[in-house]
Amino acid sequence: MLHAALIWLAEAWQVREPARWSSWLWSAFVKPAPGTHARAMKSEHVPDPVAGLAHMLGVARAAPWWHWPWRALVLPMAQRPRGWPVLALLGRGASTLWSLAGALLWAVLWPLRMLMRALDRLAERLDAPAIGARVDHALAPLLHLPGMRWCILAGGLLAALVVMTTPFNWLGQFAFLLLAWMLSMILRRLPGRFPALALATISLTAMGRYAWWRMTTTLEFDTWTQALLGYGLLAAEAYTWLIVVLGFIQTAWPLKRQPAPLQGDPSHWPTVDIFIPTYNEPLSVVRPTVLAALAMDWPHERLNVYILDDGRRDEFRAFAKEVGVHYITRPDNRHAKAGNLNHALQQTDGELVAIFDCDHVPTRAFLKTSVGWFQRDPRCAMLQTPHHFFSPDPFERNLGTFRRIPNEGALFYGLVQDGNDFWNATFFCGSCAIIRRAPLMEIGGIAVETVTEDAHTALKLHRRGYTTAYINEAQAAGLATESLSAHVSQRMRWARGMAQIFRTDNPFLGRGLTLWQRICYGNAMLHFFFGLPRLVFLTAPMAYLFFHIYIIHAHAALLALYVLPYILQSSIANAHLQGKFRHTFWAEVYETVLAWYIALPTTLAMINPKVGKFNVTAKGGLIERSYFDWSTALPYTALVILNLAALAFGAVRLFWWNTDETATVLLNLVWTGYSVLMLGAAMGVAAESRQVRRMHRVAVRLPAVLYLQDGRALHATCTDYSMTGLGLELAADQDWQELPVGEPVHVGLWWDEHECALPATVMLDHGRGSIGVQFGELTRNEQIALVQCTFARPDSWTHWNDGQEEDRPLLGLQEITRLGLRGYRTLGSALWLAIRVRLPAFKLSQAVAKP
Amino acid sequence: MRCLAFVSPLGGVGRTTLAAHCATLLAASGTPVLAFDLSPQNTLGLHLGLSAPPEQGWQAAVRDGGWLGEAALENSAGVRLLPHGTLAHRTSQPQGWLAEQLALLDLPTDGVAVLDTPTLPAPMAQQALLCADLVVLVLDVSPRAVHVHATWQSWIGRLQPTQRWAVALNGVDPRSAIRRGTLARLRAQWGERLLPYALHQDEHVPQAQERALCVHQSMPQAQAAHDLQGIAAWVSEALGPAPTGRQGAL
Repeated sequence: MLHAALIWLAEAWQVREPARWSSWLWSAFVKPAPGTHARAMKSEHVPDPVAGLAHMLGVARAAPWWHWPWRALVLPMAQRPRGWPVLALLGRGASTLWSLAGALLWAVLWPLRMLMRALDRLAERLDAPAIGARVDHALAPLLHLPGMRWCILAGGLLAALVVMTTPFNWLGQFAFLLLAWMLSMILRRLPGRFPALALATISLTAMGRYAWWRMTTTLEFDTWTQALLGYGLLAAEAYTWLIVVLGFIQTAWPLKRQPAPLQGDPSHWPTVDIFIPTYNEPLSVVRPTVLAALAMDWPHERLNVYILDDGRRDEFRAFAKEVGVHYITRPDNRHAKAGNLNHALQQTDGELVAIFDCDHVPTRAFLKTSVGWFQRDPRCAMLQTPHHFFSPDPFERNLGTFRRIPNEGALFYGLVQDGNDFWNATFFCGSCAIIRRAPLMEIGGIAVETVTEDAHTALKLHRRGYTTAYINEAQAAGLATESLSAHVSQRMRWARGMAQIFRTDNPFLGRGLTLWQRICYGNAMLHFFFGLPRLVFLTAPMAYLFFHIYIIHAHAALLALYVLPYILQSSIANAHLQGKFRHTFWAEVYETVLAWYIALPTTLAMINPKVGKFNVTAKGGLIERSYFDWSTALPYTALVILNLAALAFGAVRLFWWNTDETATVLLNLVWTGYSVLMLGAAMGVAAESRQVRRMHRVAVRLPAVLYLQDGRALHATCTDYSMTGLGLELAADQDWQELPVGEPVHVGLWWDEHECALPATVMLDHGRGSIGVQFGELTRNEQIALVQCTFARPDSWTHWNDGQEEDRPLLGLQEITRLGLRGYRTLGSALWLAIRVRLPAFKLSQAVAKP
Repeated sequence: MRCLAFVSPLGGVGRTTLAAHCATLLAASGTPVLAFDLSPQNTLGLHLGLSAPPEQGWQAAVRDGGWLGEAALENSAGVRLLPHGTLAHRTSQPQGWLAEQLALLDLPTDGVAVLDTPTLPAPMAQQALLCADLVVLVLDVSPRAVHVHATWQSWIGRLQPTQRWAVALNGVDPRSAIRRGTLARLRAQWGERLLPYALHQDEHVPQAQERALCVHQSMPQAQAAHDLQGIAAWVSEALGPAPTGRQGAL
């Protein structure tokens, strides 16, 4: 009946598209154009509201009348979330409330969005380079006066100090928040370094205001417990302020050094020794590295490749003999890798020493890119290139962000080292670097006093006045850490080593370093002390929620008004400065996962640097089946339980106990909620997913030729490669005869204009154009050719980040939330599984693998 | 009208294959093309739709005192073919005869005449060498091809400054060590003159000929198809833009 009425109305109004709201709205106000003849409306064109409602609610066609209100409250079976029968009842109401809340938020934020759009348009109208040039022109004569720059800097600092320390009331602080935000919305759209610096300055100013206010007005405590916890929280916050300031200086001006061309005749280029230290890694991991080193573009008589085998294995000795590289061992294993390298240094004499971890495969162009700077700068003692990984690290693999979101190391190798380079503070990272022998021998070889021998060596070189360099082009790629436990132990070693250096060879003390180098090194080391502060942040709101202890003496709303500009400005500044290298909120995830494990070694190392041994990061292991890494995740499980309990307490306080302090409770609840999300993502990382292949495949698009035995040759594209096989893609064709498994073929690949044919057998051919082939036993020359055509291509890693997503902070937060909730589901199911395994009352199957 | 000639002092290197495919690919891009078979082997049409070498050709037409254009054929891809025809007895033409006949054919100004020649130093091949805008020397990747470089200079000496020449390689097979080595030597000899694409040894080519098709029509995924498309594209660009002038009809 309703439907018939709607059809009549549609005809009367001549609605163009009865299925769309906008069309109805239009026709309600606009008469149809004269001359258009009336069309009859068919009933199937006009939507039936009753049928639509029935579909939405899940009510069947011939249902009795009471189904309607029942279904309005309770979800039908098919739509119920699995395993949560209780929620089905609440589900309908909850989802309606959710949509309403969403709509409300959209409406409330509408003026904000309009303002943002207006600011963006204003930014477009500003011609930043022209304004910059004019300002430059006007200020140039002023800046030429001696000492003027320092005067201006001092003046600026004084102005900033005034801004930071002026107390505002509510309105003033809100105005400050708004103005700063509007200014940064404009600045972030302007290109160039100076808007970036301006953004960072605004962010520092907001932070300074917060810090001043915090330290002058919020530290009034009544009891000893309050004071202890309150000062503890302040100390953690002060740590972050220090790191932000130091980090700002460190990355203020990324140098973006370009490779220097080589000078002179090839017969006069320096001699290079390539060291490949190895301990217990399998030969399959070391093989491509050695072959790529052999394929290096460098005069052969000026290049020597050495395998430094601390495991003294015959297999490696035979391999070295087979391919024609040198093999060095030593009778003991003192000082692990550093000792290994020092021993080899005694037995070789190349002018330059290139060091590669045994799984870091260099490209052919590595030496030609890097050695130029050694020729140009005689004081240059070390040149570092990025550590690039072609396999996903535990975060990327378990959270599914490989190649979409920059990984943990991208910030360091992309921005921090570049910033260090400007201040001549680039430090050695243990691999993918070249060191000049003479300065290295001058400081007594690689440093052995700490477990991060690489940074310590660079520090010693800097103290002697040598320079270092960084070229931000990935010229080698290796395997990332295989599992979360391996990753955590690697980071623990770095943290321990950095703390040891901080304790024994502090960069702020001692001679030989400039102020800026001290700041850069200091920041690099202090960065690893984030463990304790992060734990403090994860547990601070519990003081109020559990025990009702006030650790910040301020009204919650005023606190929010001071914290908000700080967080907002630093997020905007960070997104602008380092959005390419680290997406917003992901730093929290990385730090949360590592915090517990970093806290202990750093504290111990500060107390007694001698304690702690070098544990080798395992490379090339395979995760055979999926599992939940309980041992690594245990501390976080405990924190999760505490935080969830805090949330429960908070809810209780909100509604019953502390209804007079709603703002405070809400603030603490939001804080706890945020911690819960981050911990959830940490849980997600601990759920190790199964690795299918032993050999990591690198995705690529290279032209290739598939040679069949009957003389036919097919044009193909190589879509992925590894040392053991390739994936090929042919143009799909209906008449394609599928190749049988085991069919011998040859694959032609190119390096420069040379084509090499490699024998292989067909592994799979589904007939849709993608073929997998596996290599048989390749001869030495064939292996070198394979490496030259694949891993060692100079442009192998140049386009790695092309598919990376842009930093969208709110979307990032949404993704982390989703990952967090998924992490909790994983934790829940792993817990359930663990309980079932232990309780004999439950019948269970043998398999413990997760699907 | 521009003129493209495939020549070689070696036999069986693939002139006919290259000529037929370049003609078809140029025609596919809209250029009016005449494929002119100067070689008594009479096989140019076998990739262009003929299942057997045609009896009647321009030789017979000229011998009978007619216009050689009478023997022209056209296929469904729009390529016009002037076949040689079976030769009863040898006839020779005076110097400059070919250039005169090409002018008489009155091809459109943006058209291309693709000449398939007999092995140098046959007289028709020499005439083609002199009237082509672009001469492509075809060599196969075999040890005998290495010796051509020394004698090629004597042929080049007679070219006009407006004529360009380049070298195309056929029969590339990286599976064979001898061919790999020869390829490297040929690269070293000819350097910049080599076309960026070399034609791979591919069984798809004779399979296509059996079906009287070009490789890219018979099996588009063949490596030979990919190579030939690259060669044709390079040739099209090397021939240069169409000269402006009076449009004619064939």
